[in-house]
Amino acid sequence: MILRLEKFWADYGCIIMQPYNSEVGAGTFNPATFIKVIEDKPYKTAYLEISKRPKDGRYAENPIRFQQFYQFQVVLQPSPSSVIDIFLKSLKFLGIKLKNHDLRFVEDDWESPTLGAWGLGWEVWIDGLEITQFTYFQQVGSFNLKQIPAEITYGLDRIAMFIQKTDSVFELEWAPGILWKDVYKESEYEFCKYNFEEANIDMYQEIFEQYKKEAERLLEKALIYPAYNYVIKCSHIFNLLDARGSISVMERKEYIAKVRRLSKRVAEKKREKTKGE
Amino acid sequence: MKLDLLIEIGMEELPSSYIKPAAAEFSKKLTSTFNERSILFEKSVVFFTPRRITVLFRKMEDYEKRMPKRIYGPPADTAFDNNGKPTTAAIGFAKSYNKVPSDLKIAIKKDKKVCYLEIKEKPKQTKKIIKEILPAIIANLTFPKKMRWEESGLEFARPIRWIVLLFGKNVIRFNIAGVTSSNSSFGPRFKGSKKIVLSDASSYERIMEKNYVISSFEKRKKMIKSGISKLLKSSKTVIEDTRLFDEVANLVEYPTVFKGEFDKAFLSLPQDVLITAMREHQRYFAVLGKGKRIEPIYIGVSNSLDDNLKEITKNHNKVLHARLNDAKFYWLEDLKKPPGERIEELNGVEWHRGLGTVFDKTMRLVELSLYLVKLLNRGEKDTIKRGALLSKTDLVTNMIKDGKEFTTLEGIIGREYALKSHEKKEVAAVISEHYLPRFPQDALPSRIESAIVGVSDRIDTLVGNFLLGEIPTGSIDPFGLRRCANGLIRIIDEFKIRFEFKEMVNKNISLYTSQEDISIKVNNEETVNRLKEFLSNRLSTYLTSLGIRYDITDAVFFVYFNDIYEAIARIKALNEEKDSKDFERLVIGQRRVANILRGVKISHKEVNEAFFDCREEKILWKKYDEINGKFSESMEYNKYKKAIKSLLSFRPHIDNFFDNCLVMTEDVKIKNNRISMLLEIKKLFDSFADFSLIVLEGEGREEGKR
Repeated sequence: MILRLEKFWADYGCIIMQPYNSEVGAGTFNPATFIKVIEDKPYKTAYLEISKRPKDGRYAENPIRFQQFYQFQVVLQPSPSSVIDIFLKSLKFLGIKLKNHDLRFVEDDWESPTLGAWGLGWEVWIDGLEITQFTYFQQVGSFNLKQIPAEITYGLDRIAMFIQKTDSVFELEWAPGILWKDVYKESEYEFCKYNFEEANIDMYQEIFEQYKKEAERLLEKALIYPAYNYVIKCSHIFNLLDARGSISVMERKEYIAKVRRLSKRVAEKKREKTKGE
Repeated sequence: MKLDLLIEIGMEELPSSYIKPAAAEFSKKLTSTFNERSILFEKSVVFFTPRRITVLFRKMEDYEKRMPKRIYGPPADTAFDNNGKPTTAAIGFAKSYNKVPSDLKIAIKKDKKVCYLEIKEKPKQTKKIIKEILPAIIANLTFPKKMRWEESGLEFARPIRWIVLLFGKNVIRFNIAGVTSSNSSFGPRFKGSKKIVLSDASSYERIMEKNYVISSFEKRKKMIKSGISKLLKSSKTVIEDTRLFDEVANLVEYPTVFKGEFDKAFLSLPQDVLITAMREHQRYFAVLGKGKRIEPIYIGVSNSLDDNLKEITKNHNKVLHARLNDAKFYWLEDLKKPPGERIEELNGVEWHRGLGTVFDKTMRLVELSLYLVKLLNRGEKDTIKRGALLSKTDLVTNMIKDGKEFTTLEGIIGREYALKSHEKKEVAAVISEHYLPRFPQDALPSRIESAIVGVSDRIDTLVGNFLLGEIPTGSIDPFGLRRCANGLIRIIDEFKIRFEFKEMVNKNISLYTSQEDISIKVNNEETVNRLKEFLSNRLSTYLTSLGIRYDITDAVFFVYFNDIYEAIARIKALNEEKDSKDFERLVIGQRRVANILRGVKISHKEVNEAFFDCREEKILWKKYDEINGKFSESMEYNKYKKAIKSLLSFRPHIDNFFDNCLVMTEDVKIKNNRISMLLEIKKLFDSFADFSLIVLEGEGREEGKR
């Protein structure tokens, strides 16, 4: 499936990138999206992203919710007018017969407070199952974009379930004769246990502050990518602490504000640099 | 010539709540522009689906209708001399429009005779006007949120992808946001968005339906309704939910209804959780069977034909299964900690910037509720105390805290958790009911305990915001204080909850100031007065909605406010008497009293019966004594109708007094004595309402008198 999507979008003219090598909450966090779209220039990319959402874990008991998702991310900047048709063509390319299903675009105003980003778009539903998020970015890093990108985020686990007609992710055939549960069930459960019960709160609170300082220091030196690397780490730590239940609602706002300030500064630095070029 | 005009804006899927208002606005703006430009048409029809907003104007003139235009020139006395001959001014004016002085006509303008010319202008073609006006109308349609998507930077709810603009059989071409209008529309996505060429405007609805687009909202709703009744046995019904019904009809271009099912095991979840899980995210209708009990089935509406409905239904079932699994996960997690153990946790939730946490609010709520219980001597004290204490604990449960589809269960889920942890069912009721009513037509609490906590909660919210100076103005009311006040008034009225307003507010303020983490500057009197003003406005609106005139409301508010329930009761009583035969005379009599007293300046003296020298004044004074006694007794027992009745019985005696005794008599002693008596009588009336403010039949009510 991943290979097919890579082929489809490579043929369309996208640069095929790779997953980021640090925990991210969504493909949007990958600098291949976040930092690149700030340049506000024509740009097309597609890549796999393994997204970590500690809070969504369900101890491998819920058939479609887990703490780790496979996403396939496409960014087309600026968005072509036929972008939805191209996207639907890619679903056909994966073997989904659209005319036999209940296809719907359900409004979804996407917002990532920690990235200072928002956009309008949809959840794409097929027979009631959300399989993709489709967003026209309006603002990233608190900066209003001119060349509006379309971001397409496929939920691969769910699309695979849909194609293979399985009732749960556990039964997905991962490779001939090997199911998802053979590959991931153990680690899924253990990570849930870790995220909800075992993650060392003191340690994470401390390294959050350290990473934040590091990001700030690097920003002073206009080292954008390394600084952003620490912003991503801060964001993930925040998600972990949140899942662990150690953050009160008020503290939650503060954490989000801290990460947003950092990502906004990354965006500003990147803007300055882009203008200077 | 008359032709049909068709305008279709084709878009990527609009949010369902945007569609209907946008279509209405589009049609309204077009119609008013055509009216302004005198472009006549027979009628207009509006269509909409998630991907299109369409207006069809039947039999529209192809030219605007132009009335000759008047152009005014010099005044008549400058244009013509004494002999009626045109002057150079007239000649020059006529010439500048290629006319001669004999074309000049005279009209009266602002009491002066002025020359004018009638100029006939060539009417413009309708199609040219449409081309001119359409871009601005489209660009200025309002939406809750707008976006940009292409170079021109046009803002719209979602990208515009095509425009059909047909006048009869002809295309009117224009450009907007990179799209050129044409005669091509597009079909539904499940048919691959096939191109549909429209050969003329009038057959739009039929051709679209042939291509599986049901463009009429009403028709889609009808199809859904009949689909549901075909699928359900008569003993079963879908839950009533018009909002969901409209939403679902605007999520599809071609509705196909299906019946899905879920695992019976989930029926162990509270019914409200099941309904919410189906409604909020999946937009399914829950189905109720015998005794309004929920059935393990649901109704969904698919945006497709029914070719593959079996598989589609199976897939929907799987999704709901996962959702319910999620709800169960929240439910079981939350049950691990009873509400009673969550109170401390509320310290971590900010209630309102500057006004501390939800824990702080809870503590005030307990105190205020207990204060009210003592005052009213109604309701079960322990239930109220426990209910107030637990009222906000569901805010820190997973079900609510996660901020997803279950947040609408605030209060309701609190009740369920309370029941599960063996709180008394009355306490559980307080948790869910203290939020009632949430909106004007919403139900009221079922018991006094919930009402008392509800009143305390709302007063506390109002007082807190007013302490911060966050007072609603105009359309700005970010914290919903008006809605809060409306709820407060309804509860007070329906549950007859009586308290001294000023003391209640002061008590509330002292609770705020005694809390450690809240530091606000406090001005008790100002807060009380501003709240009074705000609430009396809300009360007027409330009473108007009950059919009570504002002058009657004002007459009471002018002299009395302190116990809101009593103010309402007095106003209602007064309102009931307003058509009685004595009422009008009484108001007139009170105005006479007020008028006479307005001019006089004497210090108040005891009435001395020795100075009476008119029979009717003796009678009046005797009656005063009687009526005063009856009135005071009625007021003491809160019998306001009876109290008014005794005031009304004054009527003949006051009339007789004015008819037979002169107040402004020459003898100062007698005069002053009469004035003292009138002052006493006025005082008695004023203790109920200022009757002189009441407007009588035929007097007309001045707007802005308030």
